[in-house]
Amino acid sequence: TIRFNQTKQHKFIDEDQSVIEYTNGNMIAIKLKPLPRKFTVRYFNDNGTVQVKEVSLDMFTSVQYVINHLIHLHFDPNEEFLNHSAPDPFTLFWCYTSQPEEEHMLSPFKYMSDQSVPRDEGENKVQLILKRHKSLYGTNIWDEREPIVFADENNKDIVSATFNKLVEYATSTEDSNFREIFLLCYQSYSTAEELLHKLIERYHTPMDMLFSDSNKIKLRVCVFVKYWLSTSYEVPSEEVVEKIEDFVKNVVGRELPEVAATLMSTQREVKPKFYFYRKDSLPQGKMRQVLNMTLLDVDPIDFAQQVTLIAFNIFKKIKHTEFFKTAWEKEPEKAKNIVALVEDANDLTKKVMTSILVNEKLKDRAKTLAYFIKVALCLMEIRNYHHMLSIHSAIANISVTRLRFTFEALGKKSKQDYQTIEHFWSFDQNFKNYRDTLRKGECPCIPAIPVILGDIIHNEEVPLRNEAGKINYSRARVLHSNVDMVQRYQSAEYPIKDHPAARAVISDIPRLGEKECYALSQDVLPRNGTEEKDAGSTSMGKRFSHFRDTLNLG
Amino acid sequence: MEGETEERDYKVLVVGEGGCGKTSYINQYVNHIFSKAYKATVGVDFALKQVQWENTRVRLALWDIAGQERFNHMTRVYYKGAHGAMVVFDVTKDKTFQAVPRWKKDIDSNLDNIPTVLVANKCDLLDNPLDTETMEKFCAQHGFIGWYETSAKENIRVEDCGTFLLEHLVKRDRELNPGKYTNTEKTVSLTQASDPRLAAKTCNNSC
Repeated sequence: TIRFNQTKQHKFIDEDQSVIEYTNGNMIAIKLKPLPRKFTVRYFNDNGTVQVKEVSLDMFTSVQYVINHLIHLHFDPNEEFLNHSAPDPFTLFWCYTSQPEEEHMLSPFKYMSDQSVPRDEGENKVQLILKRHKSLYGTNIWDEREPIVFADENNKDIVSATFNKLVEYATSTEDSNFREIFLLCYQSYSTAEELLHKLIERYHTPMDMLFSDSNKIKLRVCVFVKYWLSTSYEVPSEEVVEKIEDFVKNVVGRELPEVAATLMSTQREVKPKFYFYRKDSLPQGKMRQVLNMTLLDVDPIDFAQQVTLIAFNIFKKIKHTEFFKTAWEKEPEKAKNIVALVEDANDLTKKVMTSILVNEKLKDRAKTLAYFIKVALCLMEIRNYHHMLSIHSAIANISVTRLRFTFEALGKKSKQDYQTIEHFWSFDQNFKNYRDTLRKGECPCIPAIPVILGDIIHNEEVPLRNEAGKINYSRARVLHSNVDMVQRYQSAEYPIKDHPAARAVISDIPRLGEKECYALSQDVLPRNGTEEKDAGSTSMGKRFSHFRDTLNLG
Repeated sequence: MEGETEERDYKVLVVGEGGCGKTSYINQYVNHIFSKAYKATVGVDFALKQVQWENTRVRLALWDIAGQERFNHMTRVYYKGAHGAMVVFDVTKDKTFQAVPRWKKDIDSNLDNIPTVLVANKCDLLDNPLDTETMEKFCAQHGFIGWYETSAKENIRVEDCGTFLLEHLVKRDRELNPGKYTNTEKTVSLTQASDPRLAAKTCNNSC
């Protein structure tokens, strides 16, 4: 005999739902069969029409199923069968009839009963809203026909491709370098939401695919997601992380529970990339120290090292995002460390110009000039090209170069050394000499930031998409190679000891503005002048005589 | 001899505040492209433009300082030996116009009175043209040889502006070097040009 009894309340089941209990002899099998719940469903078609129907829905089915059910049985029986590749173009929401504008989205991967759809409150009923959204993300990844354009047969560098194809490539290649470039740059032409959407599309392989092939792709998608979750290039918003977790738990979890478990335990720890680098030879600091140290008492190598030590601490803080969208021009607050490093270099330029120009005697000017030529060479030896360039800029500044008698008074060695510097920084072929040196990849090193910024500006000139609408991928590669170079050098610290006495002398060097420097220079050697005067005898020279005291020069 | 042509190389600085479109201006002038189908070539960036001027073959090397604007002194390292200059500003950004006198002064204090033209770029974004009287007064005051409203994007007057500057370069060159004008002395070393034909040519010359 079978008895039908209504049970007491059950924590999983709404109060208003009837539950039937079956008993059969001694064996007691309990089956809970909730009765369907009635809803008013409003269906917004993409052609702007609204259909309203009263529908009974089983709450113990997935939202995905409910959507299918609604579409095929109630609203649009001609719609092709959905879900051959998720996610489908429909979204289900609930709202109170009193607050129709407050729509709450229902996750397609969860059961209706798991999503705390509230009960009706008297006349204030709960309504369902089904919306067909215009395809936000274009062609489904499995329907994409536009092929990737490669450089040529032998060079498999991608020239251009659609986003679909890039995601397809990212989930079919072992090339971790590609993944890196992709993750660094994809947000310049897409969003995290679109990427996730495309990954989910990719995960839902076509029905007719061999199981083993399909499984391989699913695993690759998971590997990519893991990589995405742990990349140091991006911290996805909470919303995106939630969606990723939803996908991992409810889709991957059902098919590949172990993979899903690993993915869920992926910790986002933004750890710096690990680079192998040789510690290439560096000259040792002399650490020379005397009582009442003046500028020229600081050994050139100590000068170079202390400047580098300070600069490296700024350099290593530069974030990859500071190079995006020419932030240092447009939004300097987003590129704080780049701007700080630029200002540090500008500051050194001013110091060098000032210390050469405030000297009283020609002999001392030449001596100071020779000193900075040596410092520039030391900077080159320790591969701080950024500050080497700023000393070069100071010496090549008109206020200094026009003092031809000072240059003539340089020793033979200094003249040669200066030529070396000029040659190294020759603009020919876009700094070919400098670039060739940099290409050796010797560490530690501070590359010249202005050269990097110039390259990035040129790169930004390349449009995001070509005329056929495909993404210009070369752009991403150039940006990545610059960011990667910076990160590589950031990871190689300088083994330099602090030399507080030298540091104090360097930071105390006075700096004059551009105008004052030029005036000082004019004073020492007037236009068409035939000799350089002693600065002490000129008005400007007198004005800045206190700097000489600070520098303990002359 | 029949068909004998002279050859001249001119170095032209293209300066102005960051983001005013210097690089796209050069691309448009040299390659007739605005940001499309442009292949990023790091390693060659001073763009070369070859122009026939009467019986002279002129090579214009345009020097782009993009990326170095923040380095107050660095750009000037490369002023040396320039024959002409363009100061570019963005008509939609007042800040870039305010900076024009500073760039012009930079050029003047480093170089001896070289022909400099003022380029009012991005004019396609402007509803009304700039006031001619004001601009002419501004040019006279700051010693520009002229000004052009251009759009690198729409290729408006980019070529005209270049031709105008070139005319002045040749004129000044003839004044300064009346006797020297026939020789083909090279003033800019060209070992790698953006145009492969140019590169080959230069190589033949220097080998």
